[in-house]
Amino acid sequence: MALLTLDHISKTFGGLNAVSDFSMEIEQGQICALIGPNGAGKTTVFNMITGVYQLSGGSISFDGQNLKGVAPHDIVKLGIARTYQNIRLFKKATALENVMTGFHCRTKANMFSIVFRRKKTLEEDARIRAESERILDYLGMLDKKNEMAGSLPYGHQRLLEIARALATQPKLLLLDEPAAGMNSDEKKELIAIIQKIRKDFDLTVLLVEHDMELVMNISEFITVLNYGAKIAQGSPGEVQKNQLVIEAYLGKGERK
Amino acid sequence: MFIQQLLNGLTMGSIYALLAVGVSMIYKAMGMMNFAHGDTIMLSAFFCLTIYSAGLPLWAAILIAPFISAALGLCLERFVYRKLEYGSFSNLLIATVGVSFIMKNSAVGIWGAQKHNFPPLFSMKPIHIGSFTILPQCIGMLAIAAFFVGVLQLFFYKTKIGKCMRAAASNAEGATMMGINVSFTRFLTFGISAAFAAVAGILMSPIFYVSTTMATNVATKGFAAAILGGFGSITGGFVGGLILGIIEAIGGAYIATAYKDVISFVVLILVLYFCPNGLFGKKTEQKM
Amino acid sequence: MNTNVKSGSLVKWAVTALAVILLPLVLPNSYFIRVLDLVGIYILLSTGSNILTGFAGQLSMGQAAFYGVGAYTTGLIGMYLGWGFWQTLPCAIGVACIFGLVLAIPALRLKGGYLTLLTIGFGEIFRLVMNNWVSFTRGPSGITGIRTVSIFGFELATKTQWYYFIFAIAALGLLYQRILMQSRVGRAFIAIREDDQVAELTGIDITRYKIMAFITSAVYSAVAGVLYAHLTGYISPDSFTANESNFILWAAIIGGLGTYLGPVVGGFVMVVFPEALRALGSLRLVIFGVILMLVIIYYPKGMVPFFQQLGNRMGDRFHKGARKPRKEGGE
Repeated sequence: MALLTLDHISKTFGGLNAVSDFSMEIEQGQICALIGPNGAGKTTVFNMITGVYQLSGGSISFDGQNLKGVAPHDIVKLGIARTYQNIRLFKKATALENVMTGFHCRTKANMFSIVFRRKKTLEEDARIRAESERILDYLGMLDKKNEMAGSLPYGHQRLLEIARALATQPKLLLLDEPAAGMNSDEKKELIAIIQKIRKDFDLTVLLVEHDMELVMNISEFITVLNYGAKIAQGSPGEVQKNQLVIEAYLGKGERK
Repeated sequence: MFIQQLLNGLTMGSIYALLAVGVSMIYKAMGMMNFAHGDTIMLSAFFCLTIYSAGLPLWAAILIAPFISAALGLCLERFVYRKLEYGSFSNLLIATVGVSFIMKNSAVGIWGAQKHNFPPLFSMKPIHIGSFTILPQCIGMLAIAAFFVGVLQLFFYKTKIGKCMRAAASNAEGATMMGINVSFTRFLTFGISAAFAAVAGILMSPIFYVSTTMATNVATKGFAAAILGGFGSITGGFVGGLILGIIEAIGGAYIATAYKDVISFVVLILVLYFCPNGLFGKKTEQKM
Repeated sequence: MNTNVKSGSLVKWAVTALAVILLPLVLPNSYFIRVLDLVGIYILLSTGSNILTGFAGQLSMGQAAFYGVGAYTTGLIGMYLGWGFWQTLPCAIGVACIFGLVLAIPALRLKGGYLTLLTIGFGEIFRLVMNNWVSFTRGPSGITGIRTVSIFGFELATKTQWYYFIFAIAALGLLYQRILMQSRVGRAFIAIREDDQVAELTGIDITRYKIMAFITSAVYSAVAGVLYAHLTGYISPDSFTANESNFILWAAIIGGLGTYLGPVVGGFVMVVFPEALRALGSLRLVIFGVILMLVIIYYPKGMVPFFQQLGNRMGDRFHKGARKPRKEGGE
């Protein structure tokens, strides 16, 4: 059974169809991509999966559970984590604190236990601190752990978003344009990282990306959106040859 | 009785309308809440009274005071708020609180804490229409408020500088790229807003006397009125002000006069909770 | 290195504690100690404001209402039931929790200026009701004859005894603030301050944590209110005005929002400066206002970060040690 199933979902904003009757399945362990021209509704789909938007129609199920009415923070707990198109870190917290915040839904300390069960709290804190450092180390930025997230260089901010997402211990990782603003070396590195974390963290990855080279390089399955509707799906090779996709990207008749 | 209270409400409503327009202009242009607006009102009243006491005719005092207030507003923008570079919301807000604190205590230092009489602006002879009585000030204040709000509306929509100010308010970055001097439009916004405060202050003076506490709660009610009408809209602010005045008068009459102020704050909270976009605003889904 | 830093910070704490203990002994008369008592109360108030506004990012200008909730619960319970401090304190905390929740519910939906207006409205409604409900609260004339605190039969009589009592509670309050902010809960607060939507999408139940922030802040302020009522023996609505709310927020901002020691500096500045400027007569509040404005314009992050920078620049070991979170020391 698929890990994530989008079943004929749609979303309207005041009469405007942002996503209409869209279906998609993602198998456990795959790296999938959702592509399409600007304004095709890709980020809207992410927002529907993560519970930011209520669905106007259809249903989403994850790991066998229907996500209807599940609060966004509970969706994270079920195992969906994401990054953002325009980096959204907790800027005035350190890199380490950003990652530790990711562990929130996997830890228990509350306002009273921090005083009355001090030892247990400190143990839990030390554990997630160590794990957070491990994640930072894994991504090669342990030396930046005490720097304010907002003052990190761009590439590190992108990585830190991934680190924070990994800290929530997801099954499915949604990456929203992870390569935006990166040069070709950084992109190669990113591809390596995505493949590595998939293996080491036992992840399924869904990414939205404009960079076709990266998408074709990394994805095992691609879904193409245009004007909020699916126009094609399949392996990179199939999608590349699809006439509708070529038209959507290049406009009709501009290519032989 | 109901209609009578409605008419009474319009008097206070006119004041709230002027305030609502003054504060929402600044909120729209700079994203800041000006908590010193009430004190500008109070100072304007004192300016006017002082000029009048110095021997000038009342009409001259009334004409001069708004210009002094506008100058004060311009100075505050130039030397205080601009220094904060419109950066942190909380610091800007607390800066206006600081300005308010300084203005209030300066006024106490200069004019003392007692109440001063102000000459009436309108005839006190009530007008009878059927079984209702209206004081000329009710009609006069409403007319004056409507006039100024109308002029402001025309200014914003018909003049070039007004259009520039609107553009700068809705998108500072874009306006800068179009060659609009955003810094200057903000400067001007403050001046106009302070002049509106002066008009409100002078209208209030004969009714509430002139004192350092005359506008303490009134500024917050100006915000309430602005939100009622949908923050940022001039006509909305005007209508919101009138509605708040009427609700307050009717609530005061039917519930308890002592709780008149409580009623306006409860209205404020209810509006914030149920329709933060104002009574006429549309509901929008939060975008990412 | 570990032991070095540990013993270093231990020395620092010991020196601070000793200074706080000895302070009343070197002051010439009880007027100064009375001022210090109020500083202690202000430290609690601005800690409450710091947690809500500085850490959780919910700008509140209605803190005087929570302060008043503590004071009025004490006054009313004392007047109607004759209970003392140890009974009124838990009652006040309970009532504060309810008021915190009442404010938090509408606050959940609001941000920025709208939230601020809500808190102002809340504060004013509280004050006006206390002022106008004469049959219950005695209205503007206030409640008199609130008894002092007795601890195991020992009654706090002098201002110096009060000083130790208030500062012990303030120290506990500061300690809890620190523990809270370095915990999972504190990280959730900070995440909400930085970007509440992302906080929710990182797995934080922001509704719950915003409510917690409001309630914690309310409890801090209410405890300050309970102390104030017992200390002065008299309360009236005039002590819980919008101006008081502004002062409380100001204290947190002047000290440095989101710093652990900001409330101490802020509380001190907001209480001691107006007293120290008393000689200037009617202009003192104007000058005080100007000083505060200058701080906000030139040191918008507050005094604590400013001192830290100053300390760092001078290569001062003491401040360097304090800047790093202590836990990092062991590496």
